[in-house]
Amino acid sequence: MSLIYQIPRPALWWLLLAQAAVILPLMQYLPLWLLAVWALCVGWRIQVVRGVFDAPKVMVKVPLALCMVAALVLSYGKLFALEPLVALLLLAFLLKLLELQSQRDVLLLLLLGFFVASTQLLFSTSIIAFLYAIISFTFLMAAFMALHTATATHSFWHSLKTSSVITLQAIPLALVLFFIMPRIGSLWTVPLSDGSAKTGFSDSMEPGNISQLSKDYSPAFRVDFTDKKAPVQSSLYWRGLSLSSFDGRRWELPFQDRDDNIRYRRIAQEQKKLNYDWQVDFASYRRKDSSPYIDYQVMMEASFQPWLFALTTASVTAKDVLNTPDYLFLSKRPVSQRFLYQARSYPEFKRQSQSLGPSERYQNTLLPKGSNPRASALAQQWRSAGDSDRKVIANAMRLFQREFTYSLQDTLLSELNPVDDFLFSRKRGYCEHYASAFVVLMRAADIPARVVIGYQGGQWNDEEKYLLVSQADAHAWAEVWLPEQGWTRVDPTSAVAPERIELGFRDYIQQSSTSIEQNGFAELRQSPLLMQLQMQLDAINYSWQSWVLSYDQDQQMIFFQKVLGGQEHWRIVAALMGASTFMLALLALWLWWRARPEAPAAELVPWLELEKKLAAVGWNREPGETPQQFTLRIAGQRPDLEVLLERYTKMAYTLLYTPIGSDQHQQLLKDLAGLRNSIRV
Amino acid sequence: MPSSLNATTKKNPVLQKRDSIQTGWLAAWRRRVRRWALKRRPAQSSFVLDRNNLFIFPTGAGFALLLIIFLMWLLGTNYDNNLVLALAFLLASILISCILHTHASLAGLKIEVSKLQEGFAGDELGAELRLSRQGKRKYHDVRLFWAGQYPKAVTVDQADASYVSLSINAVRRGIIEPPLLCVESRYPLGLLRCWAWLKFDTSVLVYPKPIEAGPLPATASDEGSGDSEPVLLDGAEDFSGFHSYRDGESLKHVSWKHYAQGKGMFVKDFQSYADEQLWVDWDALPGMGREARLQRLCDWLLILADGSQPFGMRLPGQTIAPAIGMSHRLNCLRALANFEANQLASLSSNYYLEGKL
Repeated sequence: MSLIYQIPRPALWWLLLAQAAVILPLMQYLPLWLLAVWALCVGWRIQVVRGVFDAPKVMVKVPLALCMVAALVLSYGKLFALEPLVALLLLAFLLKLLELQSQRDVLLLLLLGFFVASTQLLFSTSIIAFLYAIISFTFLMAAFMALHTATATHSFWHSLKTSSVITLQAIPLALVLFFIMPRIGSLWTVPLSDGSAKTGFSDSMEPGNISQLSKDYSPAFRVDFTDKKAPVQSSLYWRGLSLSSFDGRRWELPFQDRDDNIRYRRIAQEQKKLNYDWQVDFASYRRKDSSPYIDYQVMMEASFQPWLFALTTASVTAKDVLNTPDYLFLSKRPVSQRFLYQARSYPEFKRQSQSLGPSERYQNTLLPKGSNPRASALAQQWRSAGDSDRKVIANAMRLFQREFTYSLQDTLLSELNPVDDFLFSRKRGYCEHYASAFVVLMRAADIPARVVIGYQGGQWNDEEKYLLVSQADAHAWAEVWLPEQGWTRVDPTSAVAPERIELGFRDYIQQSSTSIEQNGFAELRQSPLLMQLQMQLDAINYSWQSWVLSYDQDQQMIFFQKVLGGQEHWRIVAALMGASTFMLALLALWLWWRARPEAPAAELVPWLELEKKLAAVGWNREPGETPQQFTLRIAGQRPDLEVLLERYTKMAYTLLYTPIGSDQHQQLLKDLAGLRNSIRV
Repeated sequence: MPSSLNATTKKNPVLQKRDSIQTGWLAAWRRRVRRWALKRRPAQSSFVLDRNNLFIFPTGAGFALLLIIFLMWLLGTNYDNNLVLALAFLLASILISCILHTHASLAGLKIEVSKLQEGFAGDELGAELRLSRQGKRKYHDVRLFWAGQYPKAVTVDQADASYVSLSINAVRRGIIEPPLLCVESRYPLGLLRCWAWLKFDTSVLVYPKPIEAGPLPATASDEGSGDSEPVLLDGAEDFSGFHSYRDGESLKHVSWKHYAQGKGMFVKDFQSYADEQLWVDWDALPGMGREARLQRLCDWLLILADGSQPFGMRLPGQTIAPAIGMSHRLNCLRALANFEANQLASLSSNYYLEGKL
C-alpha cells in the first residue's frame, strides 16, 4: 500500500497565505478570472485535505490546464508578450496546488512562488511594490519553515516570526551584493510590457485631448539640473514632438512618419549614410566654447511612447535614441519602464536659420483646401496689407490677447471648420485651441509653422532640488520659421494667460481671480496640505528612483570609482569578499552570543574548579554521580587524597548555604582556594 | 528489564524502506564520508557539537533555490530591473545566512547516552539520550537516529536536559556498542542540512536470543549430587516444623489451630531440598554449537524463571547455585551473555555505519 503524502497543516495554511500574497498585486495587471481559478484550486485542495474529494486525476488535470492556457491565449490574442507569459507562470503556480503528492511538489510550488512574486516588479517599481514583494517572500519562507519543522511544539506564528528575523538579518548582505555585484547588461531581448494603459498624450492633437490631461497629477518625468538651481518657469518648454500635418481638425505627424518603428529605421539609415546640414550646424555650434548651455538629467516615467522630452535644442546621450531632423528624440522602443537620460540644451541655438528645404516648406505651409475659410481669409487680409512675417505674428497674438479667454470649459469645437468656430464664435479655449488656430493663421499667411506638443513648466521641489513635471503640465504651442531666425517658438497661450506660463500650471490654478473661477480651473485646485504631502511623497519616490532604480552599470562604475578608488577586478572581488565576510561575521557573532555557555552560579565555582583540575588528569564525574560519590571513587584509587577531597566537598557544600558577601563566605572562598592548591594530583 | 520475551524474527519494514533509499552513487558517497568520519573521530562518552564534528551541506531544496535565484537574476538583468535583482540578492543572502543559522541550530548542544538497556539479541534495546544546552539558545527540531534507522525529532527548549528514547538493534549476543548516532538539523528553512556522526564509547550486554528447546530433560531435575546440603528455601512444599510468629510476617502460614488453642502464635515452616532442584545445564544439549546451545539454555532459563521452583545453571567452568527471583534471573542471563564473549567476532565498521552486521 502506498502512503498518501499529507502536507502538514500549518504548512498548508502558510502556503495558501503566501500564495494569496503573491497573487494579489499581479491582479492589477492580469485577467481577473485567474482569481476564480485560484479559488477553485484552493477549494479543491482543502476538500482533499479534509478527505471529502479525491486528488484530481490526470484525466481532469491535463484538460483543465490546457483549457486555461487556451483561455489565456484568447484573452490576450498572443502568448509572447510580457503579460501573457507572466499570466502563464501564475497559472502554473495556481494549478500546481491541485498536484501536491509529495513534499517535493510543495517545495516546487513554493520556489515557483519566489519567482512569481518577483515578476510583479516588472509592472511596478514603486517602493510599496518592493516592500510588498519582500513581505510575500517572508510568507513563503514561513511556509518553508512550517514544512520542515516536524515537531509542532511551537505556535502557528513562530514560523512567520523566525522567517522575518532571518529576512531582516539577510538585508545588510543583500545590500552589499546589490551595490558591489557586477552588473552586466541585458543578455538577450525580452518581450516587454505592451502598456495597455498608455499615459500622457498620444501622437496627435485635436481639440480636447490635452485639456483632459489637466486633471492628471501623475508624474511625467523629473528633472535634475546640474546646477541645482530653480530654473525660470517661462523658459521651461519641454518639447516632445512636432506635428505638421493638418486635416482641418486634427494635427498629426506627416503621413510617412506615423509608424514609429519604420520612422526610427529610416532616420537611423539616413544618418548612417549622410551628414545633414542641420546636424552639421548643431555639431559645430556645440563645439564653440562660447555657446551657453544647461546640463540636466531626466528621469522619465514609463509612457509607452517612443519620444523623449528635452528643453529647446538639446543633445541627448542615451542608448538607442535618435535625433530627428526637427531636433527631437525618438527611442527605438517605447519607454516601457522608467528611463534615465542625460541632456544638454543650447537655448540660443538658431535652428535651420539658413534655409528651409522646399519639401519642408511645403509640408509646413500646407492647409487642407476649403477648410476654415474665415481664418484663411483673415490671415490673407493681414498678409495683403503688406505686413511682414513678424507683423502677422504680432497681429495674431494681439487678436488673442484682446478678445480671447483661457478656459478649460467648452473645449469641443464644431466638427466642421473647428478653427473658424473657435476664432470667430467661441473665443475661449485651452492651449491646444490657440496653438492650432495660430498655426492655421500662419500657414494661411504663407509662414511655415507647426504645432509642438510637450510640457510646459513644472513644480520645483526645493528640498530635494529637482523639478517635477506632471501630466497636468502638458502643453501645446507653435513654432514658426523665420529667415535668419530659423525655427522660433511662439506660444499663443502666453498672450491669453501670461500667468499660466510664468507660474506654471499648478500655481496658476491656485490663484484666485475671476477668470480662474469662471473657466473651470478652480475645480482642479488642491488643498495646500495635500499638495505639500504630495510633494513630500514625490521627493521620497525621487530618491528611490535616483538611488535604487537607476543604479545601472554606469552608476556602478561611478560607485566603484568613488568608494573603492578604481574599477579593477581585484578591488571589486576584495570589496565583495570583505564586506560580505564582515556582515556574516556580525551575524555569526550574534548567533554565538545567544548560544554562549552561561556563567555558572558563583557559589558553584569552587567545586567546578576542582572538577576541572581532576578532569585534567582523566577523572570525570559521570552524569548522575554526586560529588560525594565522585570523591569516594577517586579516594578508592588515591587513598592519600581522601581526607583532602572529603574536606573540600564538605566546604563546597557549606558554601552553597552561606549568604553571598558575608565574611564567612569570603573566608570559605579563601580556604577553598588554599585547599585546592594543596591537592596534588 | 527486557519486556518482550518473543524474539522478533520478522524484518522491520521501516528499515527495509530505508535500505531501498540508500542505493546509488549518492548513498555510496555518503557512506564514504561517514566511514571517513568514523575513522577520524574517537569514541567519547559525551559530545558537545561544534565546528569539529558538524558537517553542513545544502539539501535538494537549497540547490533548487539556487536555481531560482539564478533565474531571478536573469530576469532582473534582462529587464534591467534593479528590484528583481535586489530580490535575487536578498534570497542569495538568505541562503548564505542560513548556513550560519543551520549550524547554530546544533552548535553547542551536548549529547550523551544516559541509559542503555540490556536485552535479547534481535530485540530493540531502549537507548536514552540526554540532550542539554550550554547557553540560552533553544534547539528546534533536532533529529536523532542510530545508523540505519529513521530519525526522531525533538526540541531542546528546557533549561535542564531533555531526554530522548531511541532504540538500537541488538545485532548479536555479547557486549555491543551502539552504532554511530546521527544528529541532524534542517532548521530553520530546510535549505541546508547540518549533521554529525557520533561514536559513543558506552556498551551494553545482549543476552542470547531464546530459541524453543522443548521441555526440560527429565534428568535435569534429579541430577544433583546426593551429598549436597539441604538448603532452606522459601516457597518450598514440604512441612518441616514451627517457629514463633515475628512481627510483620505473613499471616498465610500461621497455625490457626495452635492459636485457637491459646498456645500462642506459631508459623509453619516448609522446606525444600537441593536434590529436587532444577538445572539449566550446558551438558543437556550435546552435539550443538555454542551459540545454538546458549539460545536454548536461554529459553529454558526464561521458562524456569517464570515458574516458582528454584533453579541453577551450569556452564563450562561456571556454576550458578540454585535460587529464584529477579536478580537470580538477571545473573543467569548475564552469565549466558558473557559466556566466552571474548571469542565472539568483533563488530565491523559496517555495523557502525549501517546499524546491522
